Amino acid sequence: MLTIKKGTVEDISFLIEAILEAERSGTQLVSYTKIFCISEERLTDMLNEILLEEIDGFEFCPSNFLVAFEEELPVATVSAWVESVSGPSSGIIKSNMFFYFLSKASLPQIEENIRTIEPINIQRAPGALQLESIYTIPLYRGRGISALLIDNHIQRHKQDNPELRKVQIQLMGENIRAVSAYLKAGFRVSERKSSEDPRIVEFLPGLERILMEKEI
Amino acid sequence: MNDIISELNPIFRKIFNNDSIEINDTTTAGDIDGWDSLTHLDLISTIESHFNIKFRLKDLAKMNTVGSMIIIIQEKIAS
Repeated sequence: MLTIKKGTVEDISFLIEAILEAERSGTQLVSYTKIFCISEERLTDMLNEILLEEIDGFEFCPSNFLVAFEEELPVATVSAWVESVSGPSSGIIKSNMFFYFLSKASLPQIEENIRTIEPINIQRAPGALQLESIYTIPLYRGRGISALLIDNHIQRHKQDNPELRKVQIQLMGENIRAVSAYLKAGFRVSERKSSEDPRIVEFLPGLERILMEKEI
Repeated sequence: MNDIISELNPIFRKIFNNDSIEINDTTTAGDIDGWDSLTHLDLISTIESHFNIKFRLKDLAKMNTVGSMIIIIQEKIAS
């Protein structure tokens, strides 16, 4: 039987697995390693330290995750937060966190990498519930656990903030299966940004970014 | 606080390429055009170099406004 709990620092290794797998988006590419010019091992260490800080306002905060457990085994997770609710955007918070670990010498290259992917960057809407790091371990896929976690997030956030009107998710347009699953779950595509710049696929698993959203 | 603001203001003007910027302790990223994750990297890096300080992860997590940034810079300079 499944139980759903808020993430804690005890779940960090599973949360990191989820973040990396969601980043791969079915490919072998972990965007952060390419953008920040670091190894996956280094990224794992950085995520571990960032998650231990429990900083709200962006996806890498343990208590922003809901985790589904089968007995004691974590099988799926989804991170959710309300964008810019009491401070800077999640992008700036994430920048702050990664900046701490990066060498100053690597910054010009990192800035160039970020500029390369900028044409398909989509802004998150302040005040909207954001979903990220959606992941289910392979054996448990196809059982609707992610949808259950998303509904649970929506209910919890609506309870805390009845004014909440919108939930958003960003994904690569090439991830057709995921796009189709979210369409079935009532999301609609509200924005698309694409580019023909082949350098983008050095950093992201595709050339099109999609924003999907649903009224709640 | 005013001393630090007067040192920070030219940094903000240069990073955001806008000579009309006048920051104060309540200024946030939403108040300045172009303050995004990319310019933020530049801003933090330039501030560290200018004041010869190194922010900790906890410091960076608390930077919600220019005011909180100034308090952290003051603490760093004093220590």
